[in-house]
Amino acid sequence: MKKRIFIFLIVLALFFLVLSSKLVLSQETEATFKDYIFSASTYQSDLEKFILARGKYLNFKSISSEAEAVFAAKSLLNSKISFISKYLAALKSKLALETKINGYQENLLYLQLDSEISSLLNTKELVSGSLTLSDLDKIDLELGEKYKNVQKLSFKTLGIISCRQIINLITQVSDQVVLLEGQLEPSSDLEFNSEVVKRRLTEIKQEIAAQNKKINELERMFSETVGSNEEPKKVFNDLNGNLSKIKLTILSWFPNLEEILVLISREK
Amino acid sequence: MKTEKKLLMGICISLFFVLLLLLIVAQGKSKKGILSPALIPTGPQALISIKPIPSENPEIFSIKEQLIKLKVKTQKLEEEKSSLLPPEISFGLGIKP
Repeated sequence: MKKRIFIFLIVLALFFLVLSSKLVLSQETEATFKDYIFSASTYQSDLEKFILARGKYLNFKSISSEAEAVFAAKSLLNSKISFISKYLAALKSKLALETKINGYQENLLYLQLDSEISSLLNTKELVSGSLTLSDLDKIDLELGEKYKNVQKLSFKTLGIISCRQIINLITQVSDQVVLLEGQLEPSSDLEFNSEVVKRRLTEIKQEIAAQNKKINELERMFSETVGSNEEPKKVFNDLNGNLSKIKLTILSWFPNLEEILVLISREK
Repeated sequence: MKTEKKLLMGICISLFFVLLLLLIVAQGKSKKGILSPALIPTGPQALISIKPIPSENPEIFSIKEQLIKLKVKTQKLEEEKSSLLPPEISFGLGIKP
């Protein structure tokens, strides 16, 4: 008896451990997102300070106003780099949460996001070593070039996250449909026409399979196109348009499923 | 031997309660709101998130509850996506040396 209690407690403890690890991941995503929002406000305030210092420098062209502008530009560049890094960290965390980094593509994206963050840290070192406004301007323009790649990578990651979110949703709806089907099976003391319900459930299952196929195809096409020379934002928006249609289709399943539920619960 | 067993049982039981407590605390924290207040359902979404009255069959009730959750989750997807779009940033200091 004691042995059984012991085994039960061990299983329960393991269950809680698995559950809490999932919670930790979602809390990590939340924390990185908060960091990102905070870095956005720091960037905004540093931008305002720099605009003031730049105005002074352009008006007076004195040594002290130049020193002030250099200081403000350094702060601005540092907070800009932090802003981009925090954004990438939030995206990375979201990718981990939604995809669990199971496949090759997610793994590659995760590593690319990591490498972009490291590369940004190198730029930060360049900023602290610069002494003139022209050097800082050059670094900022180079950062702008780097940011084009960051944007491309971000849209690709967001596209994959969006596809996976919809795939997860479809899987969860499909699980509920299977459970509903289970309600129809052996207990067959159902008086109502279960054939009609079965047919409607089969129709929904067929639609689920069709949408699953469609989204997998969309994900494949998106990955191929976003890597080419096409404008990443445009490719992402096109994908979103198609995903919105799928989302509407998913939403159209719910009234049907609710009706089926009502029919079954009335008879049970 | 008996004392060892009792000790082991005691450890297991206390571990169980500690984990339970941690889980409750973690769940409480996660319910405070993920990402942004914009994701808290308002208007029609808030109405949808009202829990259904438990029907007699617990299995059907659970399916119903899950379907409602999935419906809300589907509607929320768009907002979550827009909060993670890459920020618009301008480059170049605008100073002619």
